[in-house]
Amino acid sequence: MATTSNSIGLGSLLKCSDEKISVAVRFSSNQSYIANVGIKDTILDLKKAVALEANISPRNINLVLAGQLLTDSTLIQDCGLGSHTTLHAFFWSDDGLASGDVCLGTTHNDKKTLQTQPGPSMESSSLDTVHNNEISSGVHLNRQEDVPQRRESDVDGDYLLRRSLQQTISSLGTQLSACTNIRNFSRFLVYCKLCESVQPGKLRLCCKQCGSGAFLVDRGPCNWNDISSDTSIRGTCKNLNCSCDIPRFYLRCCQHHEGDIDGTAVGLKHVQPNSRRVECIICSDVMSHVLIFPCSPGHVMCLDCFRQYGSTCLSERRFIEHPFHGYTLPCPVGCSDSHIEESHHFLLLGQEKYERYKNFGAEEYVLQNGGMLCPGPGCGSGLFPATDDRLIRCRECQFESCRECRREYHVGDCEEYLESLRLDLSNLEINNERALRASWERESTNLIEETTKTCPGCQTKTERSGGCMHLVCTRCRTEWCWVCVKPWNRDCQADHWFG
Amino acid sequence: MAATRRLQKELGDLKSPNSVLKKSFRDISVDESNILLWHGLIVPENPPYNKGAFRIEIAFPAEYPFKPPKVIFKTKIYHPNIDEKGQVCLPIINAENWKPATKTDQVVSSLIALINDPEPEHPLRADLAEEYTKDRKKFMKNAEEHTKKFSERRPAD
Repeated sequence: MATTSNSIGLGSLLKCSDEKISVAVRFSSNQSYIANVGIKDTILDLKKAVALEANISPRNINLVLAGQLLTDSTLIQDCGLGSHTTLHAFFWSDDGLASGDVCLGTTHNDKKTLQTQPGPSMESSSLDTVHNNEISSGVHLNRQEDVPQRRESDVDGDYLLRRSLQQTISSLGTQLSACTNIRNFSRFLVYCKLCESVQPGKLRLCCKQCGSGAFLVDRGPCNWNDISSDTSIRGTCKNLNCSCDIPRFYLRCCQHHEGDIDGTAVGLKHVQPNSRRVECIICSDVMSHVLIFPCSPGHVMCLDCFRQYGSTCLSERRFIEHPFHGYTLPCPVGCSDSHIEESHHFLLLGQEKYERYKNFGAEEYVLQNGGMLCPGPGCGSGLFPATDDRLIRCRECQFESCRECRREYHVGDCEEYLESLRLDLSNLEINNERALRASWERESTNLIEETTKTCPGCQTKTERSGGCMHLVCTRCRTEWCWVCVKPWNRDCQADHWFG
Repeated sequence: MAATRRLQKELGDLKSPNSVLKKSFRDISVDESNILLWHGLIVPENPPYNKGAFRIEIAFPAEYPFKPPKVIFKTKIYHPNIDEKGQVCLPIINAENWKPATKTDQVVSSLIALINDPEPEHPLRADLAEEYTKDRKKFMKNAEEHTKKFSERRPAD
């Protein structure tokens, strides 16, 4: 279907400034209009502007933002719209049936219809309207039903549902966002990969099947599960060609990015504005945004301290492989149920460390599940050797290694092989360049040999950077002694704990 | 950074008259130019160490509280868990057990508990641990003499 785009001036035709923003209004027929509206204007003003251009009555237009109908009296500035935000629209003919086609000329002045546009908004004023006006509520909720008139009991049922939801929302207070008030959208915080920082997010939704934004939800989301991919929330797609009732929620960065695509902003479910002014458990400062661990006390850390906490734990490989949440960290108190549940939070450490985090996570997964990392130069692929052969061949780099000493595969005893390697190196009679390179590599090998010892559990070359002689391998968790290079025992503790 | 802000607050708490350690951990001094190095006086309650007091040094790493502090005894002490160099093995500040949320008052409490009740099953000085387990009377006598000879004077109040 062809897309037409028209520019509409509201009042003076000024370009975007602090006072005005451009809003795109897209109909399910794919017609779209761009309106320059003042932030102090109302949704009704916007509808009028669009109606003028589309040659229909403003009261026949329904505007949807994030699955919610926008009420006429709402101010543009309260909608959390950025420049170029798209609002989805569908037509509403006065006979009470939705239509995807433009209903030109059908502009009855029925005041009842005009006043009752609450839709599934959860504001208390609209709640009363719903209660008092069964026609409106019935029609809004069941537009696509074959039965044009709703029974009284159904209306009461709707009302009760809304009422109970309203009470739930009130009791949950600040945790709720989209369902109470559009202004509260910024309670969702996202990590924006384009801004490379934490930003207020905007919750949006569309039809899971056809992707249309003209989708009305039966109820607002009340927690992060509600906006996950297996949401229990249902609704109605206003695209007449689509019968899907499942919404897909997604988050956008509040900053407008040219060519913004899905996936550049990821929701941070543990990060929230610090509305209760709780001290960071690490630095004791009260910061504007905090990370709240999912343990029952809800330990709170400011984002600066979280970055340091994550970086330190990463460099010391203190992350753990959690059965449900993957490679992650608990709260700094160590509560058992406190692990970060969503790996994107580690984007807060910065892109470079996040890459390292992902690598370590993959390695940890391999090691924890009985695999090994290919010792081939620059490889490190995860290997799960199927047989007990001493020869292990990497599928990625074809490097053949010895299961025992983790060096290049060799015939005979590992120690003898190592000795023969040293002799080989000293007998080199090669040209200068190769000699230089060989000596560089030998220096490197020597340095590793001199400064490291081998974990008796997994053969990992280990460097000791301080502390006592009691080491715990960061890979296989073997406890061993730096002096004896054997598993730690009481003699080590008594004789040379500190060297 | 996080270390400075937090240590200032912890120091304030420990010096406050409400501190639960006000009797057993005293004379806390911090060099103005380096908040990462603290000194203090441990005043144990249990014999044989209640005949004196012991100076300790707490050294915080720059990465504190993400890495644990180190505690060193500056006063000689006859104790199975503290070696001749003043090194002590406290599980709470062991790198493996360390939790960034642990506060210095908890570390000091744990240290005082270890001094008052030695743990001969995890000794740093095997000879003293053996004496402590096999001949408690002899251990108490030696430890008391050692305390009188080397330790600091206990505060009057």
